[in-house]
Formats: sequence, structure tokens, C-alpha cells
Amino acid sequence: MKRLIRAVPFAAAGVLLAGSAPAQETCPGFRDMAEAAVPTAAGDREVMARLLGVKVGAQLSQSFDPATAEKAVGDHLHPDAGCRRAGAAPCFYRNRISGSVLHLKLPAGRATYLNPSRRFLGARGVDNPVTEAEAQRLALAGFAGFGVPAAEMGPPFVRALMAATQDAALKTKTQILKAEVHVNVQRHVEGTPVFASRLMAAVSAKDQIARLYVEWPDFSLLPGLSPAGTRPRPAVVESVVEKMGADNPCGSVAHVMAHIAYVPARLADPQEEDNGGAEGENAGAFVPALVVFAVPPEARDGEVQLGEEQFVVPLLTPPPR
Amino acid sequence: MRRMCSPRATAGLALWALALVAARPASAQLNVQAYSIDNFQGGQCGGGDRSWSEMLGNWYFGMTFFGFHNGTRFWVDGDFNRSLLCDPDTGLSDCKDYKYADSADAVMIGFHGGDSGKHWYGLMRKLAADGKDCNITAPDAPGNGQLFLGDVEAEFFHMSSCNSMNDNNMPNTWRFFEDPVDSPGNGRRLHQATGFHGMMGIGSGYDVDYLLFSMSAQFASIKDAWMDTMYHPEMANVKCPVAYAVGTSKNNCFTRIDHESYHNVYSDPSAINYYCYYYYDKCDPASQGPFTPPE
Repeated sequence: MKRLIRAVPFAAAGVLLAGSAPAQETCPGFRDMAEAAVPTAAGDREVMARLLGVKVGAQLSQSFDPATAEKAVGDHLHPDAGCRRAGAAPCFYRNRISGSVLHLKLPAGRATYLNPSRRFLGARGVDNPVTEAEAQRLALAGFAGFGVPAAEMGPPFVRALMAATQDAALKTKTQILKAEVHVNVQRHVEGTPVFASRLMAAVSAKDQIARLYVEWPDFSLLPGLSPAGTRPRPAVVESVVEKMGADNPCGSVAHVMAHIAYVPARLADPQEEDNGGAEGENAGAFVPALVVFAVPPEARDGEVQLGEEQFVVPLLTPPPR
Repeated sequence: MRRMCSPRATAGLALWALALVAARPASAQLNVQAYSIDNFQGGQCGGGDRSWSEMLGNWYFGMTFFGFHNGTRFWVDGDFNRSLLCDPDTGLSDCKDYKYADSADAVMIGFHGGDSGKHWYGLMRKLAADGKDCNITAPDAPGNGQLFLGDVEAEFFHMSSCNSMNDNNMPNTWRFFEDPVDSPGNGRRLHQATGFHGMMGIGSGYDVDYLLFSMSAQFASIKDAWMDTMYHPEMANVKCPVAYAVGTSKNNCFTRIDHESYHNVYSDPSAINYYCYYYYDKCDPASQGPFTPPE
């Protein structure tokens, strides 16, 4: 029995940097799935050179302005004592009357606005009338007001959050209400997705932003990366196969999806994470890497459904330390 | 081995913690526990290995490190079987939830999960004492099931598990919010549970979701924080969070789920006459159809 108290345990990093030697032969089908999923661009030096040559404009830590953000969400927020505009320490802005807060952690790229006074109240039993188009307009204006670079915003995903209720004895029909409209945006740099960066805004019934999340670390590439360090595609495939084989019993993967993305260096290289983790020297540094999803088959009756496994495989050898 | 924080980061986070503690509303600290299984293949019940403890570790870290709440247990692998989660009033001699999952105010679990068609069940790492049962099973009718929470301590139960909040199970999910034997007498019940409709995802890309959830739920409602941070419409396989509560009436249920945060904890529901939940319209994950509330 391994009982852990107080300390936060972490399993072995979900990242594998395999050499080009073939992995121990694994389950039938795993290699074919990996071959089919790994894009042909993996192992292509020209593609890696292009990915390493991107230029970005002003980043969040430069473009964020508390006054503009405050205006974007229509709130009056005051910084806590000790907030230093130019400092890296986290900072809270608050409206002590409404209870709203704006948490900033720049340049880690995190800004979170929460206004509980704009929450949906299901007990009123009234639908939120805001349209998807209006919610999208408000959300995009909010993101812009927070200084998110427009060129890096992908297409928005707009979806209604619904509320439902029913009596436990099931004597009445389920009552359903439209609660909020949520807008999610993924990040791209010159057309390439940026992993684990995103925007989200919840629009309330009064056409106000109730909550807004910005996870948009300043973009820079990890120093020392070179197209010369491009891992051959067979080595990348081998890494995928090895990770699949290590974690998944035979027959427990239906298919594999993979795409190239800019990935925070700490997620693409376990050593990088050990050298400071999310808050380390290269917290804002990204590397081109392969984001992989091993999708289990749909469970049959009586079978447990295995969860989808996500892991990252390096496309470049890490720079020397 | 991953580390959560560098010393420099720790200093920064400590400042943050100080700011949060200074400003949060006066309320009791919660007792926080997490239970996850990473290594299934080394167990007795099958299943693929997943890095659940990394994700749950971020929630636990967010709840505990900043000094809000008391982290009292983080269980990973080992002899993880149903005894940590099942209630002794089932009559099963190995059930000790009063020492484990029902001994904390806020609990998060992370492991594979299935849907019987009427209820969720979770896959354990080790067999139960009877040598047969590899699952923890939620109830779907009077007299069955093993998971009955809230009669001891639990108020908030977060299920990082596939099928833990499937649409078809909504009419039965409330049944694990109380112990039919003890709750009527002691008045203790679970307040809220969160989970996923259909297949969920496990991996490093979700770690920040769990950290943001723990932070946001100190200020916003737990429901809002869960829904905001766990939804992934941009992925090929969409991830569909659901938040669920109970109450004495429809209004009581909505008031609870709309207002309760980790620092605004209501008294226990005195009865379960209504259930209410939030979901994304037609959210369509892998392994299940679009979320459709049962009539």
C-alpha cells in the first residue's frame, strides 16, 4: 500500500524520448495505428525549420493593461496592496462590493476574471436570452480587451450551457433552461496549434461577461533548438508505439490521433519540468512536438470504458544543457 | 519524477496564497482528499495505465498548497480496491468509506469508469476482499449499489472518470448522495458531484484544467469552475463535463449548485426531493451520443 499524505505524487512523466532502435515488439495493430497517425511532416527538416522560424507580435505580458481589461468586462477593480505592475508575482484585482476578482499571473499568460454576481440563477426559471452571435461578439471583445493577440486566436467554439432539474421521484418532466453561452478559443501561431493555451468566456443573461479565462503564456521558442536536431519520422513513430505499448494492454486502443503543435517545453521534456516545472526559467518557452491521443474502443455492455490517453512526443532532440 | 514547484515559484505562490487568504470570506477550511489509480496493469483488474495522479495532483495542490484547505490524503495505486469507496451499510464487510472517501469534505477520484445503462461504476486496481469484485458500483435503485457518500463527512465529490455523469444516469445519480440507512437519522448528505458524460481525457495537457478548477472554485461556484475548465470543444473527441446537485426543492437545488463554492459551503440538504445539473448543449463525446437530458 502506498499511502501519501501531504506530498503531491507524480507519476512517471507521460513523455517518451525513444531512440531510433525499434521498441520491444508490442501489441498487434499498435504500430500500424501509430504509422497512420504520425503526420508525414514529422521528421521533415524543412517543416521543422519553418516551425522554428516563426515570428510573433506583442505578447500578453506586454499588451495587457488592467484599465482596458476592466473596461472590457465592465467592472471596477482595485489592485491588492503589493501588486506590482511590472513584477512577475501573481496579483489580484477586486471589486469588494460585487465580489468579483481578476487574478493575474503575468508573464505566465494567466488572467482569470470571475464575477459571481453575474451568475445564472436557475431558481428564477428563466432562459438566458443572449444569442450565440452576441455572446461571440462580447467574448471576442473581452479577449481583445485583455490584450490577447488577435493574430493568434483560432476560430471560436460557441456553445450553450444548459441547466436541468427534475424531482427525484420522477413524477414531473425534466425542466431545461439555457443558462449561459460559452465561447472557447484555441491558440495558433502561424497556423500551428499551441497546446494547453486557450481562452474561455461565459456570457450572462444581461449580455455581460460573467467569467473569462486567459491561458496564453508569452510565446518564445526554447533556445538552442535547430532543424539539424529533427528526429527521423521512424523514431517518432517508435516513440508513439513504445508509449502505447507501455500503457495500454493489447486490444485496448481503437485508433490514434496525432498532430504537430507548439508545446510548452516543460510538457515535452521531463528534464525541463524537473528544472523548474511550470514556473521555471523556460516557463514560457515552447517546442514543436507531437501531441498524441490514444483512443480506446467504445466499451461493450458490461465493459468498463477506458479513458483517452494524451501524451507528447518530441520532434526535435533537446538542446544541450 | 516531476516536481510541482521550484523554490522561486514557491515564493511567488506563497505571495499569492497570502493574498487569497487575506481576502477570502471567513469560512472553515475543508478537509481535502484525492484517490487515483495510475498503474492498472500492475493490478488485478485490467485497464490501461494513465497519469491520473498528475491531474488530480494539480487540484490537490491548488486546494492545499495555497493554504486554504487541509490536504489530508492523496492515495495513488497500492491496494486500491472498493473498500476505500464503499459504505459499510451495504453489508459488505470490507467497506470502509468512513475512513477514506467519506472522511473528507472535498474528494476527487481518478480512474476508469463504465456505464451499466443505469449507473456509473469505477474500475479498481485490486480485487475486493471477496476475491471477485473489481468495481465500485453506484446505486440505481433501492437496495443495490455500494457507493453511498455524505453520511459521514463528504460534501463535494469530483469524479475524474469516464461515464461518471452520463445523461441516461441522471435520474439515478442522486442515489449516491446519501446513505439510505444513516442519512435519514443524522441528516448528512453529499451536496454536489461533478464528472463527465462519456469518454474523458487523461494527460499532461489537462493538468492546468485541474489547477484552474481548484483556484476558480474558491471564488466562483464549484459548478461554474468545473464546467469552465473541463470542457474541450476544440478537441477531435470533445470532453463533456457535468455538475450535479440535490435539494429539498427545485429552487433549493439550484440555489445550492449556483452558489456553493469551496468557501461558501451550505448546510447539508435535509432531504433529496429534487436533483439539478448543468451540461453543455448536445455535447457529443467519444463513446456516448450527444448529451440529452432524460425526460
